[in-house]
Amino acid sequence: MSRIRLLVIVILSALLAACASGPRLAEIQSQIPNLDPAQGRLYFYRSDSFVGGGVQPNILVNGQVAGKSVPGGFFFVDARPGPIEVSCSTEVEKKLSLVLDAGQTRYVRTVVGMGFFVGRVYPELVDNAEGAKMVAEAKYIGAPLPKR
Amino acid sequence: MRARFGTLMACAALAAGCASEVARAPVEFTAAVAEAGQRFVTTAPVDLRPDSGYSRSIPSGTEFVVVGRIASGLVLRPTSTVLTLEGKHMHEAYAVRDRDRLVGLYLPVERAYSALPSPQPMPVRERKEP
Repeated sequence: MSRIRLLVIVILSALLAACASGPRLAEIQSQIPNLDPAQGRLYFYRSDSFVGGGVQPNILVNGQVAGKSVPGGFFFVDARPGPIEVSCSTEVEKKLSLVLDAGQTRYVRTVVGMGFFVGRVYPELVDNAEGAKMVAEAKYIGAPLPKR
Repeated sequence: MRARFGTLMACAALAAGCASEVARAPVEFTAAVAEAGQRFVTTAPVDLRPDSGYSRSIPSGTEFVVVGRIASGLVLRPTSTVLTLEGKHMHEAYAVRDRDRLVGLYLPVERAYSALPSPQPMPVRERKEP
């Protein structure tokens, strides 16, 4: 096997390993608990892209780790209504502030940007139509869901 | 060569996230009473060019609901889309309209107002239908 072919295989393997693996939303929809009307729900997702795929920082919600930003992955967290601060633990921290109402579902996309030494990941608020569409195409990487 | 390297490094540093903090000032927000629930739809696109340099565009047909008032104008929250103001960080924002113009953005988390350097025409019509 030529060296170039071997290099291509190694690079492709590394890129594939950086992508999310898990069930799609349609497969787990029935397992997702109904939203408590006293809380709000935040979905987090990241588009499936090889660019910066190796950069997979934690996503923090009000300073607490809620999950990881993984290409092609999504998860959700339920939170008390009120002001929410989202950040990613990368080289440069760019925070997102938003208001979450009781019973409301909102969507946050994590995006890879150019960093000084490595890529950085930052959160962006997106509208529900776009968010729901993108989450439907992503793979679930959150905490195990109750079986139904 | 050294100058070119310096320029390159400066550009890289800027690209790496040295954006400026959004200019804003704390403001008193009064929840809407008389206009509560009143909805408006933009009838033309509105382009925002905040000081932070991250421009935004509100498409024609975007629906807003009146949520309150600050000294600078009526505070309108988009109903089916999101509006953000971006600088060093990203902030959810509501439109502030006064005399048919978008004059700035209200940041609900920070309870602060960020004025636009040049207010933009923001033509709207009231939406009465459900």
